[in-house]
Amino acid sequence: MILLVEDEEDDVYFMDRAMKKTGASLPMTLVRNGQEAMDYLKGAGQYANRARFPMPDLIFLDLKLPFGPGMDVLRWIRSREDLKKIFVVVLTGSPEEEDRLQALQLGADLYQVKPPNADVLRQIFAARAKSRPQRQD
Amino acid sequence: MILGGSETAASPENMKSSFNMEGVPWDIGNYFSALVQDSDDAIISKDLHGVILTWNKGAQQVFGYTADEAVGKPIRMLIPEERQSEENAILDRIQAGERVDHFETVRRRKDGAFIDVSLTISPIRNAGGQIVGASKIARDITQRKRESMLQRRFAAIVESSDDAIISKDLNGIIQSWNAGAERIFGYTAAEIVGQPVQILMPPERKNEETEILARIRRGERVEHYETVRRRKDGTLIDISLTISPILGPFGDVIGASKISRDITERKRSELALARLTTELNTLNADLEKRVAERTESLKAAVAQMQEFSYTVSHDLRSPVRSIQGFATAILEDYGPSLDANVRDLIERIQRSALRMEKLIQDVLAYSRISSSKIECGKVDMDILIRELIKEHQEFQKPLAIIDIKSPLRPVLANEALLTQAITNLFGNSVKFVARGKTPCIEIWTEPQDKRIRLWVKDNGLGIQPEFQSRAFGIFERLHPDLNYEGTGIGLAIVRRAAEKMGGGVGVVSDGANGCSFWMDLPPAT
Repeated sequence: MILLVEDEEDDVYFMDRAMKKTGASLPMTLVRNGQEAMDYLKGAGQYANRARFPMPDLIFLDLKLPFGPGMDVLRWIRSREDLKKIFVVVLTGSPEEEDRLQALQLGADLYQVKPPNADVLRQIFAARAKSRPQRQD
Repeated sequence: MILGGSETAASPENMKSSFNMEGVPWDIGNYFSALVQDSDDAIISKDLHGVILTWNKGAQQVFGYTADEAVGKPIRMLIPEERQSEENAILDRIQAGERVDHFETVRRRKDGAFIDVSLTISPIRNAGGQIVGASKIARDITQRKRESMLQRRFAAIVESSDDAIISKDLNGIIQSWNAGAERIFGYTAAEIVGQPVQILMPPERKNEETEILARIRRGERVEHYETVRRRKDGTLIDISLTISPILGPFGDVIGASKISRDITERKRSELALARLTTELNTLNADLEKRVAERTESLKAAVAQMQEFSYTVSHDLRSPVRSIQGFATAILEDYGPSLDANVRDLIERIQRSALRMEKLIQDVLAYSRISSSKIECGKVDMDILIRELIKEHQEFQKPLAIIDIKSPLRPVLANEALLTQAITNLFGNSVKFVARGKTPCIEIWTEPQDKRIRLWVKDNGLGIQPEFQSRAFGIFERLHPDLNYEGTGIGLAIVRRAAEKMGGGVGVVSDGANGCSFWMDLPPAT
């Protein structure tokens, strides 16, 4: 299960398109901002039903989000015992070296500049499978 | 002669007859003789030709000649050249039986010195009453004259002084009052002499006089005592007082002289100066505060501006990326079925979006250079440039030929900034070259006035001299031909980077045969 944290409609479209092009039909849930992302991961509010909203295997996290930057969400994820092992890919429009370093320091597994394409996604899935084989199922 | 009346001739014999000397127990002739002989005044007699007949001790004292030296000599030897005529006039009057009283004139001593004398000359008659000569009493008044002259001079000084010069007795009663005092205090001498000096003091300062008088009585002097006094019209004035005791003939203090200087103007100036100084200090402090505030707000504005351009650039990226993405999606998904014209239009959209992205990237790079703090170290430009060429295909054969005239001198620089600057210079040189021509770039360094100058000489289009000053400005594009694409920021980044590292940039070109760009940087030691 993939959690996509993204507020831009276009970027959601490109992600969806690239995902389809990989041929893998992985379920993907979209949340629109940092607060929603945290609610989802905590199973709070509308996301209380874990059967409907299971813990993700992979998070694509945008950095520019409404109501607080993605870096804060990343910091929060890595501060929680139950979440710290989730594979997080920062997917951003910023090619800035500074942002890349900060994201990796805060515990992002990968840093990917937008837009993603099928090849990039396949590489990401491979990297995730390699780093966390125990979470494969 | 003091003893005689004006009409009476002076001779001992005459004296006998004109005074009642009866009962006087001594010989009257001897009496007069002794009196004449011992007098401090010069008493001389002469005949009608002006020949000296008698010469007393006083004459010796006054004129310096002994009786032996003087008797028988003409009286004219005592008269200065320019006064010789006086003797004629005197003799005329004597012969006429007249007497000359207290005639003040100048005579010459034996030693040549001139002395002031007061002469009294009387005719001498014989027993028959005939005038046979003259008696002459000369008093040396040199000292008296000098004293009176000094006194007059002092009086003139006192009178002409701008300061008030006042004397008072030990009871504080004013004894004298000069013109300066009248000017300063407004009272005339007639109004104030005899009045107590307290009349000049404002009520709250009356007790000052007691203290001043006490000090004067002890013989002390009071100098430059600054206080306030009151004029006749009631206005208060600032004065500086100097008060000295006046000593009597026996050395005792009998009064005080008081010199008052009006320092109202000075005080006013001092006050104005102090006020100005305070005002200036306040202004200064205010100015410093304002400069600090302005600097702060300017810093804040610059920071805000940088934040703004950074955010805007980032936000602009997203739609540009979408445009590129959608154009690519169309070409990928429907490319083969598209009309050639539609394909061309979509490719144009892609190119424009790419240009936009490059522009945003450059603006970001420019604002980053402006805002970032950098550290400089020794950079080996030979290595840096070779690495840089390796990373850019467009700087390599066969797309371009870059000839490095090794060794390049090491410089003091920030490696990342220098890399960016040189990349932009090379990028500029390979971009602006005549179609079909392979860009050729030559690179070398030379020492230049405490800097190392890096030259980048290309075979491109060149820049007309009138445009060269604008070459490094932001958003300046000197080649309007759209085939030569540029964001107009590349060289601005080069300049900003060089300046940030303590250097500078420039270009030399004749506008036809390529450009020679230079960048100065501090040398590495």
